[in-house]
Amino acid sequence: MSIGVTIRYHNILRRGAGLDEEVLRLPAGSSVADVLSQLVTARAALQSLLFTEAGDVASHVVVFRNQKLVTHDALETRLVDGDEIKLFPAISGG
Amino acid sequence: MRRHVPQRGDRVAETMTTHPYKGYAGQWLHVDLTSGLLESRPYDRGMAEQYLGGNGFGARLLWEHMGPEVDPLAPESLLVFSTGPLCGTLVPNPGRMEVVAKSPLTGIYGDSNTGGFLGPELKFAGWDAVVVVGRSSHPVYLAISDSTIELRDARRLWGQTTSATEHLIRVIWGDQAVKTATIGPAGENGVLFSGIQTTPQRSAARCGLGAVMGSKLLKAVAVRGHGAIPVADPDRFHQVAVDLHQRLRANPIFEAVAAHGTPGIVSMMDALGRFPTRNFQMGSFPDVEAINAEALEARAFVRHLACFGCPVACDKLYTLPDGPYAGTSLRSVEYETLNAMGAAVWNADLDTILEANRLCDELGMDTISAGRAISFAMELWEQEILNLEDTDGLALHWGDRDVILTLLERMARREGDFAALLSRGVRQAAQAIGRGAEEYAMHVKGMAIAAQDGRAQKSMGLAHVTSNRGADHLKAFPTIDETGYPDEARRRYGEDYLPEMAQPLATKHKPYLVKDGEDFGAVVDSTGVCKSGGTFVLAEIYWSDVAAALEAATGMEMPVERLKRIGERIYNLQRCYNVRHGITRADDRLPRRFSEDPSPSGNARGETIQLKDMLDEYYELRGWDKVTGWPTRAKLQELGLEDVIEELDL
Repeated sequence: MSIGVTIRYHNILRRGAGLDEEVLRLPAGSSVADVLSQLVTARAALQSLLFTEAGDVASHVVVFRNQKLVTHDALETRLVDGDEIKLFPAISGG
Repeated sequence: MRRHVPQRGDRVAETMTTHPYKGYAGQWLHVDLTSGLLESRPYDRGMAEQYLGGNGFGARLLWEHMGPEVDPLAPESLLVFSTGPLCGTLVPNPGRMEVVAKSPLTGIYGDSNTGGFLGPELKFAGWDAVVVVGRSSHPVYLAISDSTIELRDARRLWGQTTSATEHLIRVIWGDQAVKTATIGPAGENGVLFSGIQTTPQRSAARCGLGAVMGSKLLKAVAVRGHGAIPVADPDRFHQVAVDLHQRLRANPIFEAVAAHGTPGIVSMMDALGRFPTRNFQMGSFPDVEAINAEALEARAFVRHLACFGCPVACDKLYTLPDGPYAGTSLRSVEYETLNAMGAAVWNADLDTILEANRLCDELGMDTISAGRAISFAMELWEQEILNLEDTDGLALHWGDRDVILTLLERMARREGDFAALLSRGVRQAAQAIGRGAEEYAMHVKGMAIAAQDGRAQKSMGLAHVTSNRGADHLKAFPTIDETGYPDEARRRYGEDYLPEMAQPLATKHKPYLVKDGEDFGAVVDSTGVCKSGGTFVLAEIYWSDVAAALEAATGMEMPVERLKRIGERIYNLQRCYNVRHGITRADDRLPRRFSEDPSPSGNARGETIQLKDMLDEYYELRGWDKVTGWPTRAKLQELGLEDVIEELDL
């Protein structure tokens, strides 16, 4: 059993990924953290953009799941089929 | 009339030797357009020590010379162009200057900050500030070539666009390096949200300061300078500046900010539900991908550009390669304009947004307030409050591209009754229209709310109501809690303030965030550096860094506590200026929509904003009376503002 999760990249993460969006197939029960790990397996350029040298998710990566902000202490949140993940660098302003 | 104002000769030499601080030119230029008087005045030592420069200098002059009895568009009104002691130096992003006047849009304190190259050029010419009063008998422009000052006939420039005006002045002058501040037809025609355009295509856009300039028949200020800015301790200053540059470049967000500039936040703000859509009915735009940074880059990006001394280079040059506006070329396309001419008016056509941006730049109008006037009108049309008889025959359907561009042209020229009405801003227009129109006027104290939604970021809602120039994100500029990114909050405020300080929907600690941001922002805007290149965006440069830079540049002893006191003094003085104009706590409020209509969008879905508790805590932190919202006698005494106490009879 697997789930499909749509990943949408923004800003320098889009450049790093080399595409706007993609659909990942993951095992049922996968988490946001699992998504991030799988992304860098397929796209090495994302490694330094998403993770620290120590292997932790970089704190300046902002994650939305279905238009809701996912804080880094909730990266183990389980995903379901059809979820959308948006990834941004933590730029601010206005 | 042509005057040689002795600068490094007898009179000013005396000024320079009595003014103890470096980093300043040591003098400001007083211009009386009624009499033609052009005069060098010494930069007062106390002014530097108490207010630094920039908007501190402007606020103090307004307090002393512009009481409630002075109409912002009367000859007696002051218009202040003011740099600061770090402007034009080696620290990062030192290209900013402040324009200060009483706002004809809001009737209270007004200022607008602009980047580019004009501020440094003014200091290189030997002037910290230019203060204009009076009204000329015919259109003129002020030409400053180092110490030679001239009021030149501008009758042939009157009616020209901002870029044409700059071009013609440079041709006449015979020097393409001349920097200018110009108004377009909107400022000439008294549009209450007209701005002042500065080299190169930057804008002191908000508060209607272009109308103040136009009321004086002052078409432009043109500057050429060849001097230098001495600093007190060159070795230490160099060390401080290099350290700040290196830290900025090492910041993990630096590349992302540099990649797209402010358009880079469009999609994130949309996901947060903080991207006003259809006049704040929604906080997310279904077609956001058509107008975000990536779309802009793909459609029109040419190259990166930077303001004076900026390592970030958030500015970009854009050109439309084809289509109805083929050849349109402009820079400084900002997040705010993508919202105001895009989502806010339900327009997903990027070409139209760029053309609207170009029109506003050329005609000399604030894109935010101009766009908000259109979205306000479109909602009134949707609500059937307006009909064709009211609108001079325009059907104001959401997203109608022709209507957007037509209204911009008409507003700038005040052509037709309806456009003339909108050119007074949403508050005055709503009051004149009646029939429930005020419900849809999204403003605070007469200033249209920019592209933030307090329901999606609670600190921003508070910041909108406590800003001294009416609704504004840039006074407190609470960037720390926009994205949930904790590192900046931790670096500035420590672990004790987490996690709420970094959470956009949390209210805890936000009065402190706003108060601290306002005080720090007052200092930043008084030194001549940028809020988007390290002090707020990137949040790398903070109180101790600015204090170190000021100390090395000026020679003024500047412990952090003293600098904080200066920021607090400036902010309190501006508030007192507004108190003198009748502002109370009752004016510190958002439109009903924000407190009663839950956001339908993004991360903010279901959220409203309730200000009472945050405001109580904010006034308490400020030492202001919670009932009136006025600074207390004790607070003003603490800040050394005894003359203000006397004037307000506190």
